[in-house]
Amino acid sequence: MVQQARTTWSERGRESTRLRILDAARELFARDGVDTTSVRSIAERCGLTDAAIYYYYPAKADILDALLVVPGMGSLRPSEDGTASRAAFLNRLVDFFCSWAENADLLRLLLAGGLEGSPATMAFSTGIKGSVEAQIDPVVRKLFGGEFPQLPHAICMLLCGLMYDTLLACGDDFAAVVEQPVFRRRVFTLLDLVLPQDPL
Amino acid sequence: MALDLFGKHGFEGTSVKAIGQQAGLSDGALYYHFRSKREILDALWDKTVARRIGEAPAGEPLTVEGLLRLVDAMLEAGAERASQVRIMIRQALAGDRIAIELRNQTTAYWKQQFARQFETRLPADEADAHADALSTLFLGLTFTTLVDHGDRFAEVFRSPAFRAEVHDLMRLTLPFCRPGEDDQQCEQSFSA
Repeated sequence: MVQQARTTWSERGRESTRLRILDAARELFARDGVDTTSVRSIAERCGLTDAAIYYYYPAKADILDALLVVPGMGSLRPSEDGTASRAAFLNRLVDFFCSWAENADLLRLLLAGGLEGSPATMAFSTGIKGSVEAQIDPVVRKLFGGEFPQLPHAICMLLCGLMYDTLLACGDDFAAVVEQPVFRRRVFTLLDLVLPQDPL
Repeated sequence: MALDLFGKHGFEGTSVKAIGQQAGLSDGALYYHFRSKREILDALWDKTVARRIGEAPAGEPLTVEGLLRLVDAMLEAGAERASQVRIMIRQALAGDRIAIELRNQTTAYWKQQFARQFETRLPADEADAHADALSTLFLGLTFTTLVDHGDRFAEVFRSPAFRAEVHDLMRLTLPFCRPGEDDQQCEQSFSA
């Protein structure tokens, strides 16, 4: 029992160290860009050694990956009893998208990095889209059959478009804009148009 | 001239003097035409992007082909003006009010062009929603290309594979297309 409690405690400790690293990295990446930020500067920022950072994240790219985890995608999978419905899927996509607002700074950075031709951000962007589409794909198949092979890509591109459009149109107000009901309604309306209607 | 320099050195890194030297004009002459560097950017953007896209014929019956032609014209405009697009977005991301405003105007202009086409067959609010879906999807596809391909994006915009991908996804947002139907069937099933 004692052993178990200790493990839990040290796991919690590791988790909080991870969070410290990610917070520092998020701040520096957004301020200086991914390519200019060194692992050393992240270490200095959060009061750890380089070696400690490398223990948690073997490469800078791993830190970036960890920062842009896709939130809430697990909930997109249809439930075991097969009750997934178009409406539920639609609402979950809206929730998923709106929770991305937390990443506004990094997404702005991603766009800026892509414009500068930064290989790290370009590779990352390709990876994240693949992961989103791979997670949407089984739900789309289950709900709409195999008739719409391009739908996951279309959903992903629509969400990217909304993200970039809002980022460019609202700048620093991004997070506040995304929280407003009118924005949610727009996301809902657009996804509703792209998802095929339930067969009558 | 200004465009070349903005593309090479960035908007902030280009002085009015440098533009004048390149164009063989004195600072004074240049300031006579444009009161600020911003006005030069404004003028460049205005005369190229908006005009290149061209006006969608209003009131003409909506066709899939007509919509996709509009999409192709937008892609071509983006490819031709690659450096302006890049400067604009970079400035907008950096919080430059004028760039943000111009970007927003351009997006609003696309939406309006799409909406006019949809309005020939749909009530105004539905037409607006479809126009929003179409232009947002377009934005997602083009910006992702910008991020993923960096300097090569203009080349990608012109490639047949990318155009086919854009067309296929656009069709999914059209109110009258079912998978497997060709354009003519789409239009017929919509007018029925």
